[in-house]
Amino acid sequence: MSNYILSYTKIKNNCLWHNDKLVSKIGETDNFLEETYKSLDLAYPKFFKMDALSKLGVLCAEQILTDESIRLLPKEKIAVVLSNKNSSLQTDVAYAKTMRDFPSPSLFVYTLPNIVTGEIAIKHKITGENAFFIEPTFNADLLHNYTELLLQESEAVLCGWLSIDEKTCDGFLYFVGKQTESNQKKINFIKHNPTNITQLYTN
Amino acid sequence: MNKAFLHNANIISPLGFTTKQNFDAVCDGKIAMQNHTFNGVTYCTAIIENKLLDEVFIQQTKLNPKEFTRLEKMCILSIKDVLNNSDIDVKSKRTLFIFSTTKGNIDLLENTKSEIPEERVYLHKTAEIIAAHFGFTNKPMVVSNACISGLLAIIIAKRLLADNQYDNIIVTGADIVSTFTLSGFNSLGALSSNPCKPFDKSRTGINLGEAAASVLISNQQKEDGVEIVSGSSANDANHISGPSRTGEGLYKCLQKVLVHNTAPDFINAHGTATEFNDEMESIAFNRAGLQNILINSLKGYYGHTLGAAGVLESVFCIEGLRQNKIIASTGFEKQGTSIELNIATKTENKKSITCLKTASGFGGCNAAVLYKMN
Repeated sequence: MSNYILSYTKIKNNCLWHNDKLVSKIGETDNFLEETYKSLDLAYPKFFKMDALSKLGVLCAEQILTDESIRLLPKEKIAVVLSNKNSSLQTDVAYAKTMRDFPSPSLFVYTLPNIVTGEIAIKHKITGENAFFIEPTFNADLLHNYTELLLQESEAVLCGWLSIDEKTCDGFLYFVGKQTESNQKKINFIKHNPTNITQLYTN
Repeated sequence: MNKAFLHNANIISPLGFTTKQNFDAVCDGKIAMQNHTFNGVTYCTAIIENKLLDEVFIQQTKLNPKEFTRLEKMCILSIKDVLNNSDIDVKSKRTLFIFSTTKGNIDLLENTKSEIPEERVYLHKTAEIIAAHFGFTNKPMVVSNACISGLLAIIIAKRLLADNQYDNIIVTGADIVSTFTLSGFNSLGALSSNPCKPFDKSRTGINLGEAAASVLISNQQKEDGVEIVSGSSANDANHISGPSRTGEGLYKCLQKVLVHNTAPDFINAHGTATEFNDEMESIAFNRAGLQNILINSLKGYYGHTLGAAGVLESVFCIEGLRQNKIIASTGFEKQGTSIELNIATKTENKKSITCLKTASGFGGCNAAVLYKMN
């Protein structure tokens, strides 16, 4: 049975896109992630405690995981497979600046790349498989390959690339699952393959 | 579907530079943790002496130790030992190297005078340096998923082998002790100032340790090969820096991994010796009906080696199955969890066929693997 990309989101150049639709566009700002959060009216105050990588992931995941057809899937069968180049380096550097004088526990807990996986899991009660891969650049083949292996047992996989550094904020999450009665009327199906994933990411 | 078997393995740790040295040291009750001072603060931690590491590195590789970080030297020695004892072709497209770590060369952030290029703080760079040394054709895969990294890398290797994508996979898990991790865990109040006491009533927290551990996983059964029967990960969806009070994620892993509800002969737990981790594990094991199975933790010998732990401890699981030995859970004296567990109090000979290995980490992640001696 084929697997499909049922939904995707992108954050790039101060814009948040969901399935080709512009959800939010923020003008010149130093607080793009916070401004986007406000524009979405999320009412999730925990957001402000998070580091930038977690904020980016939570914002990207929100549009996908609140979709009705996806919300009904069994949460223990949704896997989360993420990737980036920098791991948690931005937060690592921020923590390292504090560690000689007053090491900050609230920064330290974010010095792992998969904390964003935990934040997404907590917000949406997702308890399936996890994996975080580090790659020099976005690698559709790797994500596609491992997702297909997971779909032998999981129902669906939230995948993507979440990258934050001093200058750029690059988030791309997509949701891979099977065609079902509840989702087939709503969604423009995109076959799950590396070409389509790359196209969605680069477009 | 192909099967996956663990073969040659190596551990580079303060207790030795081969699997045998490590296994023998632990059977003799040796503990790697000692007091060491980092930036004026004394910690009870397990570190490899720099001088010894460099001596062995020069002797084994003839390379200039100044061109590699501590972590890279440990990994290169570890993989070299595994490859020396095997005939696999690293240049084959059917061979993969998976590197698991939490913080990689994080000490480069602290040491601005280092001769090592700053870019090596990127985990994929570290993996590329190690892979290039051995000439792997495939580019390395890097897994960084907190304290389940090593065990998750083994699970991923099993899945890739089962799908017939490779014939041989080398999994290396490694992390070093650094001011970064020591100060961080200290700021959380998670460190014990004495050798840690997993599952014990008077446990007060973890020790950090450093190690590189490697294992060759192949689709071929050979003499002494230990099969990876099943493996799984799951998230608690509860808290980013504390385990679920009901052991939700770990319990889900156990349900998936213990196929046909067969109990393992022994369990090598995560057992970090924090109050909450060990308590959570006791609840998850009890929910899965495993409270009477003999359990140990190796953290009392090595401390918590973070991204290396899942691989290092798996090497002990397979050696335990090969030698029919169950290692005492050092540091344990009195039951200290709300569910009483069957903790191994002495190292003893016991015929075992299967072993369950578990791990849990920040970000709410959990993993479990079932090993079987065929």
